[in-house]
Formats: sequence, C-alpha cells, structure tokens
Amino acid sequence: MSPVFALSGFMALLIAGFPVFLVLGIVSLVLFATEGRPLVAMPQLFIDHLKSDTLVSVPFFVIAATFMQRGGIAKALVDFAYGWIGGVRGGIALVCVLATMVFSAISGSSVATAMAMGALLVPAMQSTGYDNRFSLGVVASSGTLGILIPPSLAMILFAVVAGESVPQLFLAGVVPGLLQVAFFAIWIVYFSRRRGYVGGKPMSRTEFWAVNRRALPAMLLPVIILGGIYSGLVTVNEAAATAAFVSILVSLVFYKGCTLSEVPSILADSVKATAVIFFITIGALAFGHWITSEGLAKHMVDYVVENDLSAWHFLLVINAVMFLLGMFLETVAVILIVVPLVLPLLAPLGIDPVHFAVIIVINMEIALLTPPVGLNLFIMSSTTGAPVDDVARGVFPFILILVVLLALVTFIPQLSLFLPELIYGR
Amino acid sequence: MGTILNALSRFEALIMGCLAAVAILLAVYEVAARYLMPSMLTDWGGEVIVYLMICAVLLGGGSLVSSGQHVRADLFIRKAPKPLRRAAEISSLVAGLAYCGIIAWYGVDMVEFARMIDIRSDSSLQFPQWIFYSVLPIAFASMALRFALLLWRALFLGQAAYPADPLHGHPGQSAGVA
Amino acid sequence: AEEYIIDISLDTGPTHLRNVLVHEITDRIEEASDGRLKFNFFEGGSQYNDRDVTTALAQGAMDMAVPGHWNLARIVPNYNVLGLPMFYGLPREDQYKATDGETGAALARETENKLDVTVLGNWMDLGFGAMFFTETQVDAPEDIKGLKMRSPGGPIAVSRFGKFGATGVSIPFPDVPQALQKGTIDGMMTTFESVRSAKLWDSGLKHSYSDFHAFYQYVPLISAHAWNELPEDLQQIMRTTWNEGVTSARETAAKAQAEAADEAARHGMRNVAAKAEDLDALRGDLMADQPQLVKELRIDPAMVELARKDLAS
Ligand code: NA
Ligand code: NA
Repeated sequence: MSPVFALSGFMALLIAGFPVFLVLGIVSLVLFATEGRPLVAMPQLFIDHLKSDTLVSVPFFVIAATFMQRGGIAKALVDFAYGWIGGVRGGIALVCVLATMVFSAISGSSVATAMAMGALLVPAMQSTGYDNRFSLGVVASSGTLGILIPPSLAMILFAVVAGESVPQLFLAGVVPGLLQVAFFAIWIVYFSRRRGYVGGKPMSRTEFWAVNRRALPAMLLPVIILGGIYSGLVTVNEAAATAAFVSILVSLVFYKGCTLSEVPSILADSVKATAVIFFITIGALAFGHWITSEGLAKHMVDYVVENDLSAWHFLLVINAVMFLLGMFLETVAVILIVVPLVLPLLAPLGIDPVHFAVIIVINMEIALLTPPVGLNLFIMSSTTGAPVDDVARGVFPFILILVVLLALVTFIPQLSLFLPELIYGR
Repeated sequence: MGTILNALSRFEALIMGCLAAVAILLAVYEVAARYLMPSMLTDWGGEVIVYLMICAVLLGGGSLVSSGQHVRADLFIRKAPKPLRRAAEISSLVAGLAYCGIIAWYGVDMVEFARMIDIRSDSSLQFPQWIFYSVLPIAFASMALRFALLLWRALFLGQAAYPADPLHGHPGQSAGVA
Repeated sequence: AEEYIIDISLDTGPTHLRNVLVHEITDRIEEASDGRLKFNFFEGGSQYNDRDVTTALAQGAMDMAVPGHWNLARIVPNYNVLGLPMFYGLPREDQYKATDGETGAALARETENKLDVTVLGNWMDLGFGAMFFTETQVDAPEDIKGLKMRSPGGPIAVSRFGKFGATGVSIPFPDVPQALQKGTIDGMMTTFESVRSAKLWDSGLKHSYSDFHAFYQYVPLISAHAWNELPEDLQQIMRTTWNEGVTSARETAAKAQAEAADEAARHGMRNVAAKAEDLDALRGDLMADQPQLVKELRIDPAMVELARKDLAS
C-alpha cells in the first residue's frame, strides 16, 4: 500500500478520536494484510517485543511514583524544600521547583510529578497571595521535569524503540534538567520581585530539623535509583524494582500514607496506568516494523543524502513537527510515532541518538503544557478545580523558557553528551 | 451484564495487584541474593519477573476500554456536529471490536503454533512459551468484550459511546502516563 | 526470466563479521543466478532479532535468516548437544566432524520437519568463545572463582559457572559496556570479534582467557514458502554456491578472529590461551554433569550417541 495513503488514513483516524493504540494497531494490521504477510505474525511481534528486560522497568517506576504521590513522600519533600528556601522572596514558588527536582529524581513521569506537587503547593501559593495563574503555571511546568531528570519513562521508551542504553540516556538529561531548574528559578525570582511577593513564614530551628529528618527516607529513593545504577550495583530494572519496593515500605511504615490493605489496589492502578503506555507501544512497534520492511526508511535516507540536508535543518524541522504533534497528541504517542520514522536518518545526518533523545524529551515537556491537549494542564485543572484556560495562561512564560532551553540543547549537543561522554567515554 | 463486567474488572485488578507484588518481591530477592548469598541466585528470576509483570500489564487493557482510559485525541471530534461525532465514535467502537477480535483470534493461532513447535525459554526453567503467550489473546479478547459492551450500550441503550474523559473525572488513574 | 526476491534478516549490524560473510555469499549467488535472484537485507535487527526470527520463518513472515545454533535450541532442543561438555575445548576441525557430519544432518532433518523451513547447507562460523575480564588476570580456571560474569543463562552456563565458582548476572547487550565499567560484572563470555566490533577494551576489558568453551556457528535457514517458489535450477545454484562460499568464509572467520585478538592485544589486552592439560582436566570435570545436562536440556540420547560417533571418527 502506498505510504501516503497509509499515513493519511492514520491521521484521519487520529482526528476522528480513535484511541491511539487502536489507530496504530489498525493501520499496521491493514498494512500487514495488504502485503500478504501472515496475520499471526502480528500478535507474535507484540509478544516478542513485550518479552523485554527494558520494558519491564516501566511498571516498576510507575509503581514507585504512585506510592510516592499517595504515600506522603511528596509532602515530606515539599516541607524539606520549604525549610531551606521557603523564606526568600517568591519562596513558595522556588520550593515547588526544588521539591519537584528531587521528586523527579525518583519519578519517571511528568504527569505523576505535577499531580503530586499540585495538590500540595497550589493552595499554599494562593493563600500567600501569589497570582492564581502564576501558581498554576509554576507547578504544571515544573512537573515536566519528571521526564527530563532521570529516571524517565520517556527515555526508557526511546531506548526500547532505538536500542539505546538506558543509563546513558538518563545521564544525558541531567545537565539540561538542571538548566531548566535554573531558568525557572531565575524567572520566578524576577517575577516575584516585580510583583513584590513575600516569602513564606520562616521555620523555627526545631521545625527545620524535624522536616529534614522526616525527608530522609524520601531522599533515600533517588540515592537508591541513581546511586544504584551509576555505582554499578544494580541494573536499571533492579533499581526500578527496588525503588518500588522501598517506596511501598516507606509509605506504609514511615509516612503511613496508605495501609497494607490498600496496597494491592494501588498496585493494580499503577499497572493499569502502565497498560495505557504498553498498548500504544506495541502498536508503534508494529508500525515501525512496517516502515522498515517497506523500505520507507531507505527512501527517506536516500532523500536526505541526495538533497544534502544538514543536521541543522533536519533538527529545526523535526522540532517544529514535534511541537505541532505535541499540541494535539499525548506524549507517549508522539515519541512512539516519531522515533521509528526518524531513527534511520540520525546516522546519515551525524546526529547522536542520545542527543536526539534529549531533544525529543524537551519537546514532550512542552507538549505537556501546550493547549489544546496538554496533560499537565488537565492534571492541574482537575487537582485544583481551576479552569484549563487559566492553567494554560499561567504556563505560557514557562513554555517560552522551555523553547529557549530546547534551542540551546538542540544546537549545543555537548549539553546532553557531556556527562555520558565523561562517565562512559562514548 | 454490567455487574458481571464489574466483577470481571475487580477480578482482573486483584490478579494484576498480586502479579505485580510477586514480581517486586522476586526482583528484590534477586538483588539481595546476588550480594548476600550468590549460591541462592537463580538463572530464571529476570525471566519470571518479565512474565509476571507483562501479564499484569496486559490484563489491564480490558478495564481501560470500559472506563474510556485508552489515550485518544478527542479534541476535534468533540467540536464536530453531534451526528458526525456519534458516527465517528460508533465506528471507533466497531473498529476496536474488530481489531481486538482479530488480534485475539490470531493470538490463539500464535499460542497453538508455539505449543506445536514447543518453544521453550533459554533458562534452566525451559519454560513453555505458549503459556506466557496465552495472556495476549486473553487480554485482547477481554478488550473486544468491553468494546462490544460499549457498542451495545451506545446503539441500543442510547448511552454515550465513550465514558467521560477520565482526566477530568478521576485524575489519580493516569499517573503512569509519561 | 522471472525475478525472485529473498528477504533476509540478520540482527547484527552491517559491519559484523556474519553480515560481511553472508553478503559475500549472497553476492556470489546473485551473480550465479544471472540476476534472477536478489537478496533484500534487513540488518541490525530492523525486522527481527535472532531470538525471534525462527518463528517468523516458520510462520512465513520472513524468507531467510542465519541464526546461531544456540538460538535454535529453544525450539529444537537437540541443538543443545553442541553445548555439552563432550565438545568443550575441541579444535574446530573436530567440531566440523559433528556439525558437517551425521549430527548436523540429523539436526537439519529435525529442523526441517518441525519448522517448515529448509536448511540451505553447511553452517557458517563465527568462531570460538573466550572469557574476558576487566581486572582479573586469569591463567587457570581457578582464578575465575568468585567473579561476577555476564551470563547467557541456561543449564550449560549454570553448570559451567558452578564449576568455576562464578556468579552469573544477566545484562542486556546495550548495557554491557557500562556494566563492565561500573563493576556490575567482572567479565563476560563472547568472541574476540564481538569484543573488537563493540570496542569493549574501551569499557575496561583487559584480560582474556581462551578456553574454547563454545564454537559458535550459524545455520542458514529459508522458509518453505520462499524456497518452494524457486525453480529447481535456482535452488540448485543456491545450495552449491552457499556451500562453496562457506568453505572460504570459514577461513575468513578464523582469520578475522585471530586479527581481532591481535587488535585487542594492541589495545593492551593480555591474552592467555588455556593450557591443554587444564582444558582436559576441566572437560573431565564437566563430563560428570553431562548425563544430568542431557536430561535437563531434553536432548535425545540417540543424538548424543551420534555426536560421540562423529567426534570419534
Ligand atoms: Na524523572
Ligand atoms: Na500539548
């Protein structure tokens, strides 16, 4: 079947509001059938790809994030950050960025991160007299750090489709993640000064030590995950499973945010949330299978080589395309639709896949914030009851900041590749 | 009909929770064993963790259909004229039923094939793969069943094709979306 | 004349020894067929991993593949016979006695009957496996005691690691470099050629111990669906050209492995070849496990007997 026909059918079904897993699945199924491939090969392809050591870390990370959010770990981190910087001008907004940064070093999901922080911080900022939209914007956009600072579900999915190393991808997100934190903090301080925002009530010395002590078990989690992976003690999988185990234990025993009898149903909810991702993933893998088998990839590479396209042009175009797709589609879907298509082009253009992964992830952070479909906008709206419109206005300055970050990261590959090169000498 | 499906969803959730719990415990045991008692280390732990977790995750597909939680871009269609919207949603249910039915059908072929040629795993477990493979047709059949029910309700009981957008309803459910 | 296109899947990249060798042979076949036969390559696992490609061939979703014999064992357990202690440390001339002899023929018959595929001809070589280490200099088997090694899994590895007193850790291949650098593992089993193509000396491999623990060969398979479409003369051309090609490809592979070992040495690797008496002692030691392994691996005792005869010939 002609690729043009397939791709336009694909877009039509998406616009008609078909579930994404269904769109990818139907299109792949029709393509398989019209090529005369045996249809049994499609479920076979699904199960072959699902039997993967990399993919199985996704549910573990999701379980860890869910327990952190419901089990009181998020609260401990917020109190901790407040103890340190809550008192300065715009302090509560800065607390949000700091606590989110730490939370992101445990959670691989931006949506979970925004959800955990939103319920705690938006009311606090509003009661201190911060602008409503600004408060919503700070939390919604800080939450996006979840997929840039390791661990990151987005990076794991990229690794699965591209056959890259998860630990290297994780490392590549560190410097851009810290840059994002710095840029956000600068903007918050500037904005707070202009508006004359005050800081929060300073803590007493006893309180300060109490929140620090209380945050210790929570701070243990990033140490287990990142320390475990980069010291070589555990594999990514084992780190994810251990984090899930420890976050359940800490929630039950230390923060008492949930009871033992609630554990199975929270586990089931997390697993169900993973199912959303996996059904899209297998559809995308089948679709990618067709793209390579049809020689579509070869044609695209030939086109790039014949027209002497530069990496610079390509990255500019792909950023624009992803920005557009990200406005309308959920992030996992965008990653899984774009990656199989552009992967064959990276080597001929001399683009490091690890660098490209970071570019995609920052695009997806933006996608989480851009209307009309931005999950973090919806999350913030539903956790606080504010209209989506208000959240969208609130995140606008932060989208601009992320676009600047994207431009820097796109055209200075060293920002992403510095750490992986330093540690692994790639 | 509705109560039976609710019971099915609860049953699936129970199995999912248990499978995930065992997978976590097994993974932690493997790490501990490697450093504390290497002689107790299995060569099949990683494999079994994959079986448990993937089965748990796939079994989640069915209740995602019932509750309308499979991600979709319904933004345009919600702004479309009502008859058009309904036509699009009904056809997506039909497509869902057909697609999941076809995958379940050929999934059974896949299981039978794996059983016939007797594919085993590489570890000393030599685990027959058809047993693991079976979860795929089961999961897709369970999704097909839910699509059929949604279709029935939409066509004959005049209900909305898709349950309300979960993100505005119960946000706690979508924590796993990246 | 009609043109036939054969889709072929290899999960290794275009610069891997196997891909280079297969390309050489298929080029010869294309030439011999006067352009009637064309091969369409899917490399680097862009369509299938070797782990899964056999099922794809059997289902008719792929035309041709050249998977390692160890990949076939999960469907035809008798391939495990080649991993038994009786083959441990034998030179390649001896290994050929079995794989080109009665044992190989019996395995081919079983594969063809079970999977609806055709075994095109003789097996192509990758070469001998050796053990590689980061910090530990291994001069004799007892030096391996207590090390954490990347494990391919399975009863053969379990039995061998048990004898060495090493711990097996399973790690996906893309993560091997950092696992070596970070000490998650102290070493791995693979071939010099694989070490060279992944430049694993950059990831800290400094020592090798050639114990010839396995002789890796690839089995050429074509799906019945693709094979039966070919006219008889093309089938004949494919068979003869393949076998001619394999004869020279085996020499090329042996040379490439030797060159890879030299290159590793130039990058500072200290290569130790196992002493013959150590190998004999170890084989004798491992042989005690063989009856148990035969049972665990579901190998037909008749196949073991066939291999024993081949090796004795
Ligand atoms: Na993260
Ligand atoms: Na968006």
